[in-house]
Amino acid sequence: MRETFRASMGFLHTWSGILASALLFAIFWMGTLSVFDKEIDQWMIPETRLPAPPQNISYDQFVPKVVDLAGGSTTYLYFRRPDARNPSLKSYYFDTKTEEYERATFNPVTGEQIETTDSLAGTGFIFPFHFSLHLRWNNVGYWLVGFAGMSMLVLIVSGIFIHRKIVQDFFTFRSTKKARRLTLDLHNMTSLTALPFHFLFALTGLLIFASIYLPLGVKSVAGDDEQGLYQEIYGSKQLTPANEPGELVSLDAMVAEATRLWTENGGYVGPPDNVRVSNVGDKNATVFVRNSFPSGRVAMNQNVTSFNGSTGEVIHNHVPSGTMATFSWLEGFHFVQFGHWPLRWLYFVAGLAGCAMMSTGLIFWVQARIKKGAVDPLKVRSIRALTIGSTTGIIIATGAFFIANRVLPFEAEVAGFDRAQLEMWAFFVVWVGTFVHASLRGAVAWMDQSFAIAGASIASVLLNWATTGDHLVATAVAGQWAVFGMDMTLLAAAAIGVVSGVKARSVTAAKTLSEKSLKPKAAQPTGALPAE
Amino acid sequence: MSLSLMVLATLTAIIGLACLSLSQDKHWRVVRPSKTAVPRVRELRIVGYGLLVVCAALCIARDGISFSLILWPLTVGISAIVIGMTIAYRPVLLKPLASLAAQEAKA
Repeated sequence: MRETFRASMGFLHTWSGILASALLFAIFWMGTLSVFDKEIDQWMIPETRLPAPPQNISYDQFVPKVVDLAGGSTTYLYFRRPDARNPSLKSYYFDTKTEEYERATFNPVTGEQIETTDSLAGTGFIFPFHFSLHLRWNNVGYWLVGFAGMSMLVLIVSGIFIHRKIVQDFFTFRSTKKARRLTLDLHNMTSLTALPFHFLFALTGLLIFASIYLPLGVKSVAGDDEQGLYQEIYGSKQLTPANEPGELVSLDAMVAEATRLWTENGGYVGPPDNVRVSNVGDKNATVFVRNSFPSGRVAMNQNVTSFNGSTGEVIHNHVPSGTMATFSWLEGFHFVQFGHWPLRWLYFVAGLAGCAMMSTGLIFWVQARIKKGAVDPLKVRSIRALTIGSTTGIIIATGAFFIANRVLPFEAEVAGFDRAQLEMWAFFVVWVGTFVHASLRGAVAWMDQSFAIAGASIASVLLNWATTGDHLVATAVAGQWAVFGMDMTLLAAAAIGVVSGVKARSVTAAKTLSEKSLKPKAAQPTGALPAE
Repeated sequence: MSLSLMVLATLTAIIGLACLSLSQDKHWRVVRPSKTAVPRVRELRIVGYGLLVVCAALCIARDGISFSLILWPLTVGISAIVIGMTIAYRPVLLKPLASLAAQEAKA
């Protein structure tokens, strides 16, 4: 224990910050991009840049097509309703030839199958990165993210205690003061203004995976029948297969019936957005018609109706419990699947503020160490490299991911890796490269990597133009806001990269002068973190 | 209708927070119209917090309670960053408001 409560909170803040910030930045960065994951999908898979789909979607016409693709018969079918953000109709099915789950994409207007660019894009790479880090082995990614989420809560609470003047620093940003002061101001400002948002984000993130982090809680209620518990909570109980052949009746009729039931219950907020059929081909096929991600409400997973697939009879019309409704709100808050554009952009900005909070926290710590006289050159260099690689580095790697997506040929395959995997490799190789670069270049790497962000962003916009013909004017005229927005955001990133690069150059130049005359100092300015 | 309500909600948050920032001595000194002018702190705080309540009401009118639980804190939080940056880089934009809120110091 430190001598005062505040000092021990400072100790806690410093150490949990050092241990978790790099990881938190990666999670927050990917999470922030996930706010626009479907727009990124459209940008990276240009074949799906379709006009907004019609209101009435018939699933029946797609059933035989997907069954054909699956090899003439299948046991599992899934359709995702197209909407403005995701204008193509996506189907997942169990392929009886390959014995694997596959995806097919259709044009909802013509009904034709679309051959899509092989890319994991936003929903397949960026979104899962932010909760699993793509480390599936033994759920280690989930646990690391869980550790980071818990650290975030610790950081927020300890941060409040070490901060003396919460209200007064709400607006404080002294651009004219020294770099160190400016870093701390930015750290305090981004922390304080978005505090409720960041706190709730870390909390709901932990709650969503609570069954992984606290498995005994689930076990104590469900015993060995975990599946049964989830089926009860989410209303997804299915019939036991009868092992007798059965014909699937009209899905559209079931969709209409579910819509009618939901309207009757007063819970209707939009058309069913997905249809899932299990035990396809069996007399006891079960069809789930759900509105998992309603556009007009925060809470998700409220409307679920299941049908007997061979008769069309309603098996169960689910009414979630009160606890579940609360959880659904918290889940919906985190998933951001509602159609609320101003709020979507506010999430994006607040997410970036979170990234700024983590990086300024790290930078301040490095600066404080140097200022205190702890200037073991190797230590400073490695801490700095870690900070640079985990902040600007991951942004450059994301740019490399976009560039790889645009330059790789349609059928690319290298050493057994398919196109989607090659894009991921581009990301990870460049990311590791940024750490190496930062450790070689020292403080100058800030400038290099800021300019690299700008370069990668501009290259992405130009490559999108070159490979698809969709430049800014074309997309604006055609009303392709997903692609237009993505290009504009990339250009904004380029502008920020250039400004940061120029700033970093002047700071580095000034620092090289002052570091020569540096003397160890013990005293900390008011409000500063007691760096240990 | 819904867009104008959103714009209005954002404006009330920004002006409300501008009032609150001017009620703090540290920020007042950057913006004050003259060296002798002091802010009407009580009025600034009443108007400032009042506008934040109005902003909450506009959010609820637009989207209901469930959305407003997210929309309001985010609108206010990000507006606070906007005000902080305005004080740092374009304090002149707050001068008109400061002139309104100023009074001469009592001898």
